[in-house]
Amino acid sequence: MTDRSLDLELIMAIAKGAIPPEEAAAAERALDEAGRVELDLQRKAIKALAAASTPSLTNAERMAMRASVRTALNMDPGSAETKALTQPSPWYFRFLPIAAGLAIVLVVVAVGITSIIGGTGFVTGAADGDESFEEAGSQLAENGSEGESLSRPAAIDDTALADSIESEAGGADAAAEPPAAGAEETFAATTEAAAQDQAAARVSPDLDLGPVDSADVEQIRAIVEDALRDPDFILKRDAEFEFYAATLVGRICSLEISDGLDPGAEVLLAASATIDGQEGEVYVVKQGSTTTAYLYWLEDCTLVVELELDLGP
Amino acid sequence: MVLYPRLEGGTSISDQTLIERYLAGDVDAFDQLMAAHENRVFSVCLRIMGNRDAALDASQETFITLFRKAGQFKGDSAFSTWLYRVAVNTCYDQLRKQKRRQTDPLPDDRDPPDPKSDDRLTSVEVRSEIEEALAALPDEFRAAVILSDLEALPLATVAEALEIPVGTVKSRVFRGRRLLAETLGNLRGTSEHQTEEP
Repeated sequence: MTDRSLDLELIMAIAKGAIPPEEAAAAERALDEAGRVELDLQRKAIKALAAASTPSLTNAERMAMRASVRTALNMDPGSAETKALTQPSPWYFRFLPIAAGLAIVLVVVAVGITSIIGGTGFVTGAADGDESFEEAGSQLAENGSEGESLSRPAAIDDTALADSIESEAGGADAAAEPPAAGAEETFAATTEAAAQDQAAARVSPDLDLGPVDSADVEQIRAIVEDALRDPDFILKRDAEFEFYAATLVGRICSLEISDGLDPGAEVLLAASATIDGQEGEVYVVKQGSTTTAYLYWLEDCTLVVELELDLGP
Repeated sequence: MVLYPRLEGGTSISDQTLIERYLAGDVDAFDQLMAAHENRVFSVCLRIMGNRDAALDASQETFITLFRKAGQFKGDSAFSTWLYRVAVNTCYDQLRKQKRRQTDPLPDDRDPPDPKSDDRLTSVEVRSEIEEALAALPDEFRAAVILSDLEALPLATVAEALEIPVGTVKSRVFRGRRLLAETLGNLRGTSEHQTEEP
């Protein structure tokens, strides 16, 4: 039996229930044995696939992935650099670091040859090469290398020169790596590490994020409920909440809330919320003498409510 | 109390608009695009890759590629189609890398492979029979079945996402389902149907 001997479309349509039942029944009766076997297999597969659960990200995975992508894209939340990041660099930019590396190698070879031919001493050759070293250094600097100095060693001999060659060659290799913004290579950093880096970049290390237990959930719920005048508003403490790398991980919208907080601000509470069946997150933040509740929709982390709370003494 | 108006209809802003805003430097647009599509991408990647860590890597790489190439999206096809294409290609790339690192022979496409011989199934994760059966499918069949039957995309959209003709999609879905059913039968210790592969 081959696929060509079967009417794939008909069998698929019957299996999917894509044709009217009477028509499907008639078509099924018209199938030969091989066709009926195929139909049975198709139905079983479709039934099994329909019963498969839909996988989803955990909050921590979601946070880590967003942070990693942001890091890979070099997105500084405080600025809007995305346009520049998505613009491809001119093609010749890719070759500039390689050209700089080649220039270094040529200079070093020239210095070596000069010292051998000149015979009168390495000092002369090195002195001649000094300018070229500086030129190469300038080229590297212009090409956006990490600024490794290419200055000539104070006391130089053949061994030092050999070491210098190896050292600078390594520097050139590093410089030849494409800049992160233009790189097409796979971003291989682990998501947790990237999340940590991202958190460190976004949140002041002086930020005080505790203690969460100091918040009175019931009091906050009552205030928010009253403010929203919505009896369906549900607020509960989230057991999965945890601190990680000076930010709130495990919460989806925590990056939004951590933006703009002053050093010394306290996040009193992070909680899940539900309004009209829509999931949300509530953060209660104390900055100075002001305590504010922020409600975000979980779906897109849109800030829905910003509510100043009077928690009393 | 300050109330912020919600987006009309929750997700009324089109992907095209969000991409334009992202390209203009709007970081919020990035967040909205991620929020709208990250589960879908992860779901596809998990089913193609067969394990969670690899799926996370592939999803992450998909979005990095997507945002880096956002300027190339012209809106000729739906954003979701483009997204699926990038996701599937990213997963294919990573699977190829995995296979290059493996010394074991590749599963034979003609017979349902023994799931226990597949490295991706040696994960400590407990997986359902359907996940194991999906993981045992040849990559091309698996992607077609996932997009067609699990993501419920029209065959034409699957064809566009996989960059293959619609007829090829039909064939892959058909044969993929057949192998899936046979593998499920093997996993359950039964061999109800023995059909000869064409």
